[in-house]
Amino acid sequence: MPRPAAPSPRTWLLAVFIAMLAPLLVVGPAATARAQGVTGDTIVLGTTTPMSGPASFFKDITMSAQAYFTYVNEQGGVHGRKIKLLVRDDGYQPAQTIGLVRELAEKERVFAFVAPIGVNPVLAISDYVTEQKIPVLAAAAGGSQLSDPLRRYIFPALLRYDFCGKYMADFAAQRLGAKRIAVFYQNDAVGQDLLKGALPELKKRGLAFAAEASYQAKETDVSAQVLALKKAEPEVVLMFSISGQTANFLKTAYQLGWKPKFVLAPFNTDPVTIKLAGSPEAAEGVYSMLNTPLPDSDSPKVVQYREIMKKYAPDVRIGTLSINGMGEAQIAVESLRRAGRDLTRERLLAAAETLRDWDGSVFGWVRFTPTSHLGTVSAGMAIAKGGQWVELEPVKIIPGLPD
Amino acid sequence: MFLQLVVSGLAAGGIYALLALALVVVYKSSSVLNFAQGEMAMVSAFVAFSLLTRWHVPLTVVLPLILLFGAALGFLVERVLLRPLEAGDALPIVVVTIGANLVLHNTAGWLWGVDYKDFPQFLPIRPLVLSGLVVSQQHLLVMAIVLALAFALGVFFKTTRVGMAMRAAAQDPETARLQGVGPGVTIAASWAISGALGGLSAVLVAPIVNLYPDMMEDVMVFGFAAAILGGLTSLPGAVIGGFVIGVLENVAGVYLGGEWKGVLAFVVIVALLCLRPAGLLGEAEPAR
Repeated sequence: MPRPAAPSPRTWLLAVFIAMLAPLLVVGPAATARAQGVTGDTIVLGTTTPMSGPASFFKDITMSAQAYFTYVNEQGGVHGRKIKLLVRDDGYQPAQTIGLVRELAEKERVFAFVAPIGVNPVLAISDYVTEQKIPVLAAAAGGSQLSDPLRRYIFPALLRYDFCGKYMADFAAQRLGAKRIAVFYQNDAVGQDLLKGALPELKKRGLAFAAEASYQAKETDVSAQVLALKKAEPEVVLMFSISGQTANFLKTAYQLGWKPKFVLAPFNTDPVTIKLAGSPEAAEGVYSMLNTPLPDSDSPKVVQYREIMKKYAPDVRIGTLSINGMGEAQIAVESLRRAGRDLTRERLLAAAETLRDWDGSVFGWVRFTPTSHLGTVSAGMAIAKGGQWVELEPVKIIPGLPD
Repeated sequence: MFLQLVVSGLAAGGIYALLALALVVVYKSSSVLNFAQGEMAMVSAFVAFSLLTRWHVPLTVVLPLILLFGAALGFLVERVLLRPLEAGDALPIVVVTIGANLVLHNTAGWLWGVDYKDFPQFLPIRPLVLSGLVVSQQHLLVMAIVLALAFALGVFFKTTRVGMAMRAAAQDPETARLQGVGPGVTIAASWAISGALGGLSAVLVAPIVNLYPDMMEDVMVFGFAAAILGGLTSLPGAVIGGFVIGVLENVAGVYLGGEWKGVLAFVVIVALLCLRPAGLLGEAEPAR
């Protein structure tokens, strides 16, 4: 067999040339991996939401966030890039959420996550996003564990439930001057969080709850709890509960002829609570916390919210859920804007942490700094008059919150 | 205060009694515990809601329509899902009724949405006050209907030919068949009655508990407990069981705390069943 000819000088030159190029071919993909989900004209964001299942009423949040992104895209996007939102249905089940988040990150290669819904789903993905260094902007959840201790990659948007409890206790003791305060609370992590914030606020004034009554999430008849609290003759009852049970409590109390002052947690500031209470009289004079201005307010930010909803999501109900969703989208867009044209996850993280007491969203003021990701830090109070919620105190920064 | 607690407990208990009656009717005639009872009732409530609010059908027309719908639903469930399993073990039957439960639950959520809806109140919300004791008009209506139904059904089963035929077919299908009473017909009839009762319950209860797919879940647990407490074959037992549970729930809720509401009722039931397995008024199993 004849010996193969030795490579010619030309072949050697070509081989060296290719060898020199090789490192660039390796570095190239790595460079674009840093800005995964970002192209010249698009930013791909991911979210998880209960589109189906018993919590599917929350999907209004995602629909309105989507509407806001569409609006922003039509204004030219963020630094010339349009936002594309990929939505996955986790049915509000954390076991599903983690799988879907991995799919969005690894298969769909999203740049970041925005407004995933629910404390438990967000907790389930916390380790993964921290390990993969993927920012989760404006999570639609208010559990205190999300920001206490600090999770670098999680930015919860909602006013934390313990801050709500603190605000409501302060309102009852200070503004309403009550000494005998009772509490009706949901017997789960949300209820516990609210209590956690309220108790120190009361203790500060030398007060304690005159009576406490809890309920399980699915309970329909709360007459026992009403009677138990009525026995203690409180001046004010704090309602750490959600719409259905709040309304049942109000209805039962009204029928028993018992009229203490009620202060409701922000989830209840929705027309449905008054409707379900059976009659406008049953809800008359009831106070309810605001974490955004009322959806029918005349303030420019809320008017803009309604206009955007009308144009881009006309089928979605105007109410607390959709106004929350828009606030979350606004936080995300502002963070993206501040990160600049040269968009990477690290720059997004740093930019998100400059939103100290930013008031550009419907939430009033939000606080995200390198040392704390508190989210909304403002609140107001509404009162029910003639079957409608009416603003009593406008949304303002809550004093005494951590920096 | 204690008396009010009892009155409120009876009021809530009336709802459990209503559902327990439906369960007992089915059990008496087919020895099947209908785990889909709550969801059948819930779907009927949603249908009633649509009739009342979307098509503005007056309540007087809606009520008989819902009875018919409930009966049809009960009949369908029995015919389609249970008839093929007729001769089989209890376990597949239980699984099938639980499955029907899930399907109905999720279909309702899919068709009508899962958020709370405001079911039209057809009685004024102002309650009745008798010597300082308060009871809402809706609750009073439920209690009145429960008692009337228990009486009417009791008469039906004891004295009418159809009723006696149904009891016979349940107790001894072979002999009944020899006597010309086809168990198939009587079972179908009892499911239809139970479905209609479920529909009626739902319409009566929805203004109290509000309308949403989960509305019957909590109530059904106590409905089952009431039926078992009363002895699964006894109609008066179901009613008494319902009222007893309602009062126990309230006693526990006020004196022990909200978390204990369900616990006390179930502790009592378990204790009673240990002492008297047939329940309060159930027929004891004859020794063979």
